[in-house]
Amino acid sequence: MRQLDTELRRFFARRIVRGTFLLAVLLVVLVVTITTAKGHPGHEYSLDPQTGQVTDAATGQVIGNEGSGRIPSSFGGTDENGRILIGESDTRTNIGKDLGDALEGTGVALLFVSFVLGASFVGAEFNVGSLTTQLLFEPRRWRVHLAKSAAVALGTAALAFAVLLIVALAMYIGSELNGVVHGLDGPFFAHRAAQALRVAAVIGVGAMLAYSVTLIARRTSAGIIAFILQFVLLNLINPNKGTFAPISHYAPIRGLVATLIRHTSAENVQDRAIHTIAGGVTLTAVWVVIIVGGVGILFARSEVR
Amino acid sequence: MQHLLTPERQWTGRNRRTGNGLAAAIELDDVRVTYRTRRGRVAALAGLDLCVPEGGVFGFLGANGAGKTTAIRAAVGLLRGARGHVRMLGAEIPHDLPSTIDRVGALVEQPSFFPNFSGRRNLELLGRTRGIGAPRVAAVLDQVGLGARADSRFATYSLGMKQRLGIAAALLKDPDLLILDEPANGLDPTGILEVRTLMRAVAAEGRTVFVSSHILSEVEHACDRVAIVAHGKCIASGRVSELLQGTNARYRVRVDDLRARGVLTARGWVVSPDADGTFLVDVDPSRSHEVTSTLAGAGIYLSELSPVARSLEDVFLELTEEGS
Repeated sequence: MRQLDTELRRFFARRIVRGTFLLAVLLVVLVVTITTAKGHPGHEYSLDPQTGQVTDAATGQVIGNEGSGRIPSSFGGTDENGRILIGESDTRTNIGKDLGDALEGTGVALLFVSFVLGASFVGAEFNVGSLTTQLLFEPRRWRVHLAKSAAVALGTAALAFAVLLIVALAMYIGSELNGVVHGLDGPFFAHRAAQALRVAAVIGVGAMLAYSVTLIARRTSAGIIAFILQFVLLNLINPNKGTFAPISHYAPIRGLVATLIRHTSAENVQDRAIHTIAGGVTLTAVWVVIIVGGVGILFARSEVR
Repeated sequence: MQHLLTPERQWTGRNRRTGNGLAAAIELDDVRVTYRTRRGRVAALAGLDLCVPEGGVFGFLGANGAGKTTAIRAAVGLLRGARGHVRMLGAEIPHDLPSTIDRVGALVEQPSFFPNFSGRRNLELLGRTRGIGAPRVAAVLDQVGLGARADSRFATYSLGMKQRLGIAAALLKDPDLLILDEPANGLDPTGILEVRTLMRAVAAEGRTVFVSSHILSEVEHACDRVAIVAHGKCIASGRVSELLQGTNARYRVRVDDLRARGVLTARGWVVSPDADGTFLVDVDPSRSHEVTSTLAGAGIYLSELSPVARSLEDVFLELTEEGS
């Protein structure tokens, strides 16, 4: 535990960690402030194509006439009477409706950040050679590796969870000031809390995997590229054809993303081998054993400079 | 390996002791390390035998690339895959290293710390893994003269200050065996003197200091014993006084007769020219009087026969040239 405690202190003392957290908080506050300020209620009108008469859909009051035979360029379909619906949707902050998507979106962005934090944690040590000094105090390589892995995972997950909490808090304030606060009951909080924990855990595991790759590659860039490249390849290659299919289906990033994102509305999810959270967790667990365990074996036998 | 005067050790199984009965702090027995390069395999250690007795300051000398740092890395478990046997404070390395590491403090190559952490924070993080608290960190920082700059970022330290912090880290565990790899690097004359004083003080407490250095005059002043390594092998080891004395002492001979060199050479002594028309003769001290009698027997009378004090540098250069 002393080793883990030390590694966690080292993790949170790093300037890149503190800087990333501050930047994330600033971005969250900025985005929520802008969306809150620009948010407005939806206005829906109906236009009678025969008469050109425009009616407020909510009140039924006639508010103007566009002239017959003239169809407005923007329209939102027709109502049961064949009248054309036009108008703008509700863009106000709505924590009850949008928090789940916001947590997932922030989570995907943080997953990329986690690769940087994880890889740079040990990449910086190779850069300055401090790993040598540490091994003169704790020569048990497995213990050092596991402590660093756990510290990176816990540290990054804690940082991600804090950012997600700030997202929720900022959205709540935005909803209260200029938005919709609706449906915030016990189940809502339970579901969103569970989702935030799941997203934070995925981000922690992502950082741990990137750290492990860097421990053997000894370069921060290797750990980052190894995972970001997967993400790019997943979208470039056809996941269902040819030899790339197994890679696409079972790459480490697939497990992380499948665990991170709810697939209730995703397109073509049935085409993917891994498309449920349980599948994502299983795939990720397999990769954690392979990568973290394999790196531990190599690290225990390698010369450290 | 050339042992001067007395063998340094007697191998007697697991409980090895040095020739003078002292327990061994570090033992390397036929240690071999090879590296792969584009030109093939290169032997960094080619069967290194070394025995460092407990207590005192032991100097480890060698030219660049001789294998000093590789030997130290093998001893402290940083290097895996070395063949042969390494023992430190009686423990097999690397297998038993975890049980011994608390008794060993080491500075290997350059001091390596996190540049954006202060010296104090770097040491506190290291010490925390072994349960060492802030008071001990403060004490070693004061001991190496870094107390006033302890809270400055490591990146702002001068080379000498970084070296002092490395020594402070090595002292942090209050070790029985202190291993310092080129500790005088970057230090000014005052700093070098302080390191020497520190090493002597540690040794005076009955601990062992193992120091590799290029500064031979420092080693000569600070060390009780030395070993010289060349091409991955130990070519000499012993007390400094023994090494300086050697099997032969050197005498300066001043004589006007040109036949003198030939007479002495014919006797089998090594004769080499020196400045001012003098020449040097290597001869066993107990037989130095024979130089006078030999020349007198040939009708040559010398005007000076004086012993030449050899420095460790002379011995080092002599031995490493022989080795190459």
